[in-house]
Amino acid sequence: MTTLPDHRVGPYIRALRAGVRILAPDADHVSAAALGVHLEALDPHVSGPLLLPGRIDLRSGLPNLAWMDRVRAERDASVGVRATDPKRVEAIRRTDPELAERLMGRVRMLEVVGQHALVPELQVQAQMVRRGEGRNADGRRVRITLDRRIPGAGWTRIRVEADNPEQGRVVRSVGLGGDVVLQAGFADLLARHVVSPLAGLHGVLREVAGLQVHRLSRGVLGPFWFPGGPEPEGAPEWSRGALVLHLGLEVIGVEVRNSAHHDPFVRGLVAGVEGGGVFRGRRLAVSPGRVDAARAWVAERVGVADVVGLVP
Amino acid sequence: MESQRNASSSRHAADVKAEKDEKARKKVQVPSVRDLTALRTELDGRHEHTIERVGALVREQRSLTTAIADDISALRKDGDTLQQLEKVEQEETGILNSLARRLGRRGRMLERRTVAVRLQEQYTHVHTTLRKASAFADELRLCAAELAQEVDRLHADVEESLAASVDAEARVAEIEAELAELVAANNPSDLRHIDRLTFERSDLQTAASLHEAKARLCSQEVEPARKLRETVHALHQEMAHYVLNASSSIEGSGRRIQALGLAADAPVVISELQAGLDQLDLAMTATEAYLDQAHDMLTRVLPELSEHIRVQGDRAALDLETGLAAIRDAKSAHATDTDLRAAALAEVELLGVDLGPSASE
Repeated sequence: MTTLPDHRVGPYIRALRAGVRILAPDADHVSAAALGVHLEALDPHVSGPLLLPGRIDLRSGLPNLAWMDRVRAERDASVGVRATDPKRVEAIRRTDPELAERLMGRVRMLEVVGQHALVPELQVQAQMVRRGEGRNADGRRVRITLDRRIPGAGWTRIRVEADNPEQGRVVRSVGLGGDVVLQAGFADLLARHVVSPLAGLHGVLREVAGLQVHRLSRGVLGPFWFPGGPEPEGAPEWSRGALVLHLGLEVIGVEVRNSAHHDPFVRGLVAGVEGGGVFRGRRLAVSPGRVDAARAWVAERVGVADVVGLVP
Repeated sequence: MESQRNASSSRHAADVKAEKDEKARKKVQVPSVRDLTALRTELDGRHEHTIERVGALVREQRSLTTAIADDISALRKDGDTLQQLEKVEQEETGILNSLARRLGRRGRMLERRTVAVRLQEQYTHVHTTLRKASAFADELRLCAAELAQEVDRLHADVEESLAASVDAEARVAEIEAELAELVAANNPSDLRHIDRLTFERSDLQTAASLHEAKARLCSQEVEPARKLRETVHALHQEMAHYVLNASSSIEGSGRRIQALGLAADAPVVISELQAGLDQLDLAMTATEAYLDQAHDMLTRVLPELSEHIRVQGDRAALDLETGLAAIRDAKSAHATDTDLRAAALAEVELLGVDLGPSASE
């Protein structure tokens, strides 16, 4: 963990938000909308000095858990508490501008956050997949989504789509609205394996949990490299002093007919697993001046380059 | 260029005139006896309200800190339990122990999971309470800033009233000089003017007394207001210092607790958890020290302050009553003199007697 100088917090957050926007994470990743709200709340343009100091996870370059959790804690702490009257704040602004900024920062931050969803540290959700949501198979299919952030790693989402879940040892009950109650302990199992190799997790789900896995994915947003931030060992030359945000995706599923490996940061061929092909890819958002160099480097390694410019 | 200069100079002249008008307006605003009594009542009410507010702030501060202390001790307890479970898992050796360990594994696993989940929830709770404490420290700082402004306002009122009183007295001195000249000239045609000046002098003397009374009243209020400001300022400083220390320790231990997540049955790195618990101990020590201070504030400082302000208020009220009674007496004495003089003049006119200005004095 490291602390960002206060004057760098705004540019850092805005660069990260721009990266998230340009990478446009889909349903296989943590919610971009929740991330947008959460990061906007951390921006000193909104919250003033209220949520400072900005602390960074050294390995991922992302805001650390405690800094992120301040937004949730501020919102929860404000429940049932009357907001400070802006007139009182304006009356003391001249004598205590720093306090005025903190108080107005709290007012603005709570306005931005409202009742929007924030990025959870750990959340497991499960529901039945309805017809028209990409479901072709007969029978019943359940979708289990786990969002987790652990120190040293990026924002991670594991999604499991499994057919006929009632045959396994995972689903306890299904509500009328399609909400699924999972067996106690299954969320723990998933949470524990959030960073395990995906093929291993696939095996655990099939053999231990007894699920017919249709599709299993892991989407990871991060790490984030930025000038003056942590420099990972073995990072390519073009990335030095540049903004680089990673969006990784791994999928194992019956719909992946041809396995493919498009992740330049992970060497080795994709091992096939029983029950589907494997896809591994990574999209990068990098400083505009480095896009060409990054594309060339990625293409040379994996043949296909998914690189976009990151303009803060 | 020339027109700009003209515009600027006319703007300046307008500003100067506005300032003069403002001064003149302020000068003529002599507080009435009723104004001063109302001001006294208002200041009393304001102090009473502030004392109540400070009392409520101290009680809230204490309740928040107690809640944090409870949360930290629950966190510590669960952390110890988790650590103990891990130690048992690692230390038991031998065939019998190994068998017992295998048999009790499921139970320990479930207990570890329960404790880890509770630890996580408690961390979330204590972090929220700390943010409440932080918002509360901001409220204290806001109150201190408002009280500082009140002290400043009282000082300004004292200065303004004293200046007005000095102005009135200066004018009295001018009038007296003018009267002395007129009396010395002994011109019957000046009688009306002399009478007008005499009345103005007496009116200005009353005004000067009222301005002085207001200055005295406000200056007596400065001390209690300053004491309240200092109390709230000290409350803020202690709370802010405490929140800073506790936040840093709790966020530090939270980092490790969050890393546990729900992975309660995965091997837990004891040294990491231990470091987290040590940081909790630091937060707990800071909380206990802070609670002692808050207790002292609630049981000793605040009642003393309240009593001090009450005594000060009573004294100020008594002074004001005496002062106002004196002004009222002086006013009625002036009124009697004027009435007598008017009656005497009317009588003299009726008699057709020509009296000199000295007779009217």
